[in-house]
This record gives sequence, structure tokens and C-alpha cells, in this order.
Amino acid sequence: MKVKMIMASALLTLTAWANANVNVDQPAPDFKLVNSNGESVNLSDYQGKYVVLEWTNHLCPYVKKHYGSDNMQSLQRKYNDKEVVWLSIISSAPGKQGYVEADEANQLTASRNAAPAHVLFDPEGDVGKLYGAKTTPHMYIIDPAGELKYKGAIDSIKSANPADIPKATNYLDEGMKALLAGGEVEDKSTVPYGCSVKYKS
Amino acid sequence: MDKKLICLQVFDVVTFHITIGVLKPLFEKSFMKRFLLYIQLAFTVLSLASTSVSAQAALSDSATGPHIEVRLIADKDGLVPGEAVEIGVHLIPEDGWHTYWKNPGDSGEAPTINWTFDADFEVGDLIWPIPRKIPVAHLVNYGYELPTVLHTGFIVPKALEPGRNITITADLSWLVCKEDCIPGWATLAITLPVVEQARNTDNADLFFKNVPFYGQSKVSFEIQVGSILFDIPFEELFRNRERPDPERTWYVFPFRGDITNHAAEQNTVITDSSLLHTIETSEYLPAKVEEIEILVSDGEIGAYYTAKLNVVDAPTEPEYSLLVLIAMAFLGGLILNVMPCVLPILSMKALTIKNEAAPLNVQLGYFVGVLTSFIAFALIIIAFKQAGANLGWGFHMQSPAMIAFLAFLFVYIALALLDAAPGGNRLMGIGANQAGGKGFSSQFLTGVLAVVVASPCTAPFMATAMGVALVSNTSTILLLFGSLGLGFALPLTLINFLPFVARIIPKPGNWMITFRQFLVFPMLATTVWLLWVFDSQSHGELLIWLMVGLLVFAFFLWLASKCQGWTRVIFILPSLLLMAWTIHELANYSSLDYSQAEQKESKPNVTPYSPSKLASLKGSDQIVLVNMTADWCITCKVNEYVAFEQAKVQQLFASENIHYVEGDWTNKNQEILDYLQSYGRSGVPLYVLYVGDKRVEVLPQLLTAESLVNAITQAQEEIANES
Repeated sequence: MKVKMIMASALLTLTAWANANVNVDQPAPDFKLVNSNGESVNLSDYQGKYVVLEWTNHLCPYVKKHYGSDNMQSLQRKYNDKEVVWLSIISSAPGKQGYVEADEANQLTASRNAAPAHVLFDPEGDVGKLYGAKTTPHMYIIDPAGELKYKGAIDSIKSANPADIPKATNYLDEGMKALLAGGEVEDKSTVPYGCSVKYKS
Repeated sequence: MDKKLICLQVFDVVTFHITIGVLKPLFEKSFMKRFLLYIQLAFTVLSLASTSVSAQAALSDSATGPHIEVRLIADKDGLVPGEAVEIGVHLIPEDGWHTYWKNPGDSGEAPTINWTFDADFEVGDLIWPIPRKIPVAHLVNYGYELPTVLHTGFIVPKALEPGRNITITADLSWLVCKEDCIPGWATLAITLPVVEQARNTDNADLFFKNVPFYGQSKVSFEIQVGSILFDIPFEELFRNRERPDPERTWYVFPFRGDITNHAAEQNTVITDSSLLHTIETSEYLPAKVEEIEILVSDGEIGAYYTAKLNVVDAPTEPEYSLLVLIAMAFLGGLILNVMPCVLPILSMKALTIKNEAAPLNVQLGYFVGVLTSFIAFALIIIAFKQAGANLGWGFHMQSPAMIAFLAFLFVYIALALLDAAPGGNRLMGIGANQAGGKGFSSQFLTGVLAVVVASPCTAPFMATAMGVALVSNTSTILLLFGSLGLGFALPLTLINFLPFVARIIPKPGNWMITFRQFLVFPMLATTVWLLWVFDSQSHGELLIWLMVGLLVFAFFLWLASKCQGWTRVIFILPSLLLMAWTIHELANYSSLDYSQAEQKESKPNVTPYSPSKLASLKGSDQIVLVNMTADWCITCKVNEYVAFEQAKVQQLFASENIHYVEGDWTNKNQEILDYLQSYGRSGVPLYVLYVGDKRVEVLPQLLTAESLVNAITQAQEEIANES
């Protein structure tokens, strides 16, 4: 090649990204976390059912947008009725925003009239990193066969303004509706928006 | 200044508590709790009311939210009809807090500004200063940790009458974060008088700070196994500097959030002309990406580019049969007659053909001259091909000396057409003494000249045929060039032989002199084009010397044309010497270039690819690493820098039983395409390791020195165990 090398100080180290990202239409990796009642919960416990994963942090304005407007809770209730297992996961590390102890988590669920099957704690951030959860909220749908069918934003308008909710396309709702009707999710993967997950590192 | 607080938290608390207030009582056990909630609700409704009350008052040009102050500012103190004023939002976060760029990265949100105004302004795009990479745990955001101004140019309508006051209102939303984030909203307004002359405000210096420019260079990208590679020419990034400072870290910020993994390290390799940038792709990368808008910055300089997808696959051009190609070459030759560089000479010749019967061999002189020249071209190309270089039609245009020669030639022809140079008529076969001085050799020379002046040109249909000729065997090259020559020579030869055609051409007269003079301009236009080509291949100062050379050359020729006998020679001689000297000097320059090209051919430890060579190496229990590459392939270049050119890899290539075979697909050819297709590929790069004929391993498209060394040492062990 004619082009001479002047400098190649940066050796191309293609880091095998420590967070093995999960991909849609691939098996969703199993995990085990403790819920707000001190019980351990495996993802594999719910094989045969649709599972929704919701990364959350109750103090994040983008989470508040969807809880303050009852948007998130009404989705939880809607899909509870359809036998969908809703897992809210908190990956905030102790001392960081959104970290709660079990009691507070249960209080939050009650006070916000939320209806997740479980609130799960991931203070080490391992499951969050395993799934590549970047923001709160960050949503995932897993089908009865254990395959990931959706990952990404809750809806199409990236803002903290609750007034945008009715104008937005709710990706989670659209995806679940399509799947329950026996179809395919239209947007299987969207860029999530919100606060960063408050990981330990 | 009336500072007002409008921020989401207030609003959020309101909606949150309204929800609780309305729904929760149904479930609450404790009346007290419910009572408290109603109190809270009442409070928040009150606070909301008070906020909206203050919002009713005249809008302020600044507001304060938690951890941030926002201001609406202008660079001028008045609106001048027809002129531009910059209006911007000054975001001033507290120390340690930041706001976001238009692509916020892994999380966060870009500020939004909606303008409203009661005049007919033309409003430009929002200008974003160069952002910084802001790590948050293992994620990355793009934004501003310092006060920043997002601004837009407003063009004041010409019809606006001085004396009026115009209010511009900005509905602003922002997100300010440290690790935690607080969104905010404000409606700010600024009122400016319409004036005849405006002065800069104190805020004027805050505008256009750290603003990227719109780059013109062609940036391309490729996507390979989870990585995206950008090729960014850096010349214009460094107008005032020699080259990029290796100490600086280069960063590519895509406009869209779904292209790169923001948190991944970006690896830059600096070649002598571009930055080769490798970034892990986003897990949200769409399946089909043709264009990517990016900002490239080292934190100080920044440029916007629209990167285009680099097509590394084989073109799906239709394959032509040899007969069609021959027809295309012939047609191309015909059309070449009317290309601007050739037309003047040929039309002058056509016009002066007389129906006087010249001997047959004289009439054929032009035809033979043309054909011989084309065959000579073909033979040169074949000779170079056998020496391992790929040349095509117009290959000599890569040599500045050759271009300089053509420039002299075209200037000479232009002068000859103006009758301001000696001997031109004879060379072009347009002399008045047609019957007397015109022999076979003169006609032959006209043919050669026609081909030489045609050589910088390409006609339609030619490109395809010549492209194929380039990668074909000897007989095809000869056939195609012969056919091209035939097409080129035919029109004038026919005119020569068919008396009725000659009769159609109007009789010579004064119009012909005018026409001849007109034809000077295509010649000069070609000269200008040649100078432009020359300039792109050489240093700037050489161009001026060539132009001076041409000027003096033209002057001497003109002097010569004014003289007779031996005085004429006195002037012709210096002009020829001048031309020879200029070309000689430039040849010295260009020979440097050629020696570099040769170096490329004779890189140590490199065996050029050929199917037979590969087969024989495999057959004799050797380790063979095949690298199919191309100059235009970004991935290939990156791999060459980070893997192949590393010392430990080169050491291995020097070992006796390891052979590094390189196939250069820069000019796509069939042998290499066949090889690529045998591995199910249609493009480069392709790296294949052969352990004799025992095992074949296709290596990944992105290599490191380590991975190459490992693969080769493992192959060495296998061979050693065998024997």
C-alpha cells in the first residue's frame, strides 16, 4: 500500500465487550435475583409465559414521567390480566439514586399502585450489564420459548414531559399486542432513553 | 432581573400527587395518610397556580432551575433589516453538572428550543458547539460540562420598519445531570428594537465558540463483524497544521444514537492522509445504513461529515461477451473523434481533404498511423502488466511529466491554429500545399498526433471496454485496442476514400479561417484541464513553473513564426529546449513517485497472488496466508496497520516455511473474484490461512497482531507434528 504508516500507537484491541449484549430473536440469558420479599427469582421459573423486564429507578425523572402519569402501572395491570409476568429490576448500586431496601420498594409499589409480579434487586449490576440495560426505563419482552422479542425504549418520544405520552407510540404495548395476537414485533429493537442506570461501576 | 423557576420537578410532583390523590384513597387504610395526601395535593396545586401566575407576567430573558441558569441572549443590540442576528440560549450548569449534545449518548436528553416571533424571520439551523465525552459509570454521554451557547441565525426581514420592537420567544427544555438528572422547562423572551445600525452586545463573544465546520472531504465507512470503520481524510481538518497531533484523542460523534456503542473505546490509526477510526457498533444498529452523519473532533477542531457506505462487494455489472466489448471499443473509438481534445485537429484535417487522387499508400497513412499508435499503447500496457503493474487507457496521465508534455503540445496546436507557430500545418496535414508536401509519413504523423491528443480523453462506451481490457489476457487487450483504433481512424479514412463525402464539405473560404480560430478554444480548454490535473498531482509551486514555461514557449514560437530561414531556427531551438528542460525537470519529480510505486511491488516477504502459485505452495506443505485486499478498502488498511505491519508479524513472514500471499483487488479482476467467491465472499477483505493442504482456516475480517501470530504459530506446530 502506498499509504505509509506514520503512527499506529493505538493498537486495535477489539475488546470482547464484557457485557455480552443480548439480541432479539436469540435466547434471553437466565438470571437469578432476590425480590422485595427476600425470595430468589429465576427467569427460567417463567418459561412458558411472556415476561416483561423493566429497568427502573423511582427518582429518575423519566421513570417519574411514566409512573406519575400512571402509564407504567396501567401497562402492568393490563398485562397482568393477560398472564404476562412483569419484572421490575433495580440496578442502582447502594448509595446511588434509586437504590432502595426491600421495605421501601414494597412501599413504592403500594403508593404508586404499581402491579409488577416482582421487584428485583440487582445492586451489583450484573444482570443489568448482562442485558445491556442502559437507561431507566429500559424495556425487554421475552416470549414463552425464552427468546428475546423486544428491547429498547418504552415509547417513541424521548422526553421527560408527561404531556408527550399520549402523542407517542408505546413500543412495549404495540410489541405485546402483536405478540399476543400471534404476530411479530414491528420495531424489535429501539434506542432506549432516560436516565443512565446508576450502576456501581 | 426577574428570575423565575419553572422546572419539571414541580410539575412532576404535581402529577404524581394528583395521581395519588385521586386513586390512592380507594386503597388506603389510614385516613390520616389520605388526609395528608390531600394536603399535599392542595399545596402542589397552589404552587402550580403560583407558577402560572408568574408566567402570566412579562416573560423574562433568564430563568434558574435546580443546578442550572438559562439565559436568552443576542449578539446584537438591535435588529437591522436584511441582516442576521444570532440568538442563542446560554446554558450555565453548576460546577460538576452537565447538559447534552444533540445525540446525548447512552442516556440523557438534548435540549430543545422552539422559537416563536411576530416577524417574518428566516431561521437557520441550531448551532451546537463541540461536545465532550462524559463517562457515567461504564456508560458514556455526549454533552457540555461548561456553560455553553446553542444559537441560531435569524435573518431580519427587509420590510421591518425601524422603531418597532420585536419579541422573540424561546420555549426551552433541558436536562441537567451530574449523575442524577433534573429536567427543566422555561419560556424565555428577548425584545429587540428594529434599528438602522446595531452594535455588538456584551454577549457577542459567547457566540460561535468551539463550533465545528462543515467538512468537504469524502468520508467513507464500512461495517465489519460488530465494528464500524471510518476513513476520514484529515487534510482540511488541518489547514494550519502539518498533521494531526498524535497526542490528541480523536473522537467520532454520530448524530444518531443507534450507530456506535458510545461507551466503547474508539481506536484511531493515523495514516499519511487519513484517520482510520474503528468503533464497536451499537446493538441497535439498523440493518441497512447507507449514510452516517458524524462530527469528528479532537476537542479543539471539529468537522461535520456525511460518511458514505464504502462498497466492498464486487460490482454487479452485467458481463459482456467479447464481441459486445469489441463493438463497444469500436463505438468508443468513433465517438472519440468528437471529443474536445481531438475534434479541432480532425475537423481541420477533414476540411482540407481534397478529392485530388493521392496514391493509395498516402491515403492510408493516417489510418496506419492511428492503428500503430493504439497497438503501441496496448503493447506498453501488456508489458507493464507482465511486470506486475496494472495500467489502463490514459495511464500516462499519472505522470506529471507526461501531462506537462501534453500541455506543451496543446499550446503548440492552439498557436498553430492561429498561424502563430511554425510547422503546425504540416503536422496536422492541413497545409495549403496539400498535393506537394504530403506524403505517407506526414499522414502517418497526423495519425500519431491524433492518438496522442486523444489519450487524455475517454469517450462513452470506452470505459467499460477498457476496464475489461485491463484485466484480460494479451490477445484480448490487443483485440480491444485494435477495435478502438479502427473506430477512431474510420471517419477520416472514409472521407478520404468516399468522394461524395468530401463534396458535402463546404468549399474552403474565409469561414474556414474563422472556424480554425474558433477551434483554438477547445485546445486551450484542454490545456486548462491538463494544468488542473497536473496541479492535483504535484506541489503547488511546480504549477506556476509549468505555466511560465508554457508562456515563454508560446512567445518563442510566435517569434519563430514571424521569421524566415535560419532566424526561425534560432527561435524554434530555445522553445524546444525549454520544453525539453521543463519536462526533464518534472520527470525527476515524478520518478520519485514511480520509485514509491515500485517499492510497493517489491515489499519484502510478499508473494503476489496467482492461483498456480497458491496451489504449488499448498502442495509443498507450506504455511500460506492469503490476504485479499484493495487500496480503497478501509478494513484492509486498518488490518494492515494494526496487524500485518507489526514487527512480530513481519518476523513470522520472514520464516522459510511461511508465505504471505497478497491479492490486490484495487482494480477488480476475475482471478481474485473467483477466489473470493470460492469462499462465499463477494468482497474484500478476506484472510485465509492454509496449513499445507491439510487444513484451511478463514480468519476474521478484523485482525490483531496477536490473533495473526497465534493462528500462524498454531499452524507451525501442526506442520511440525506432521513431519
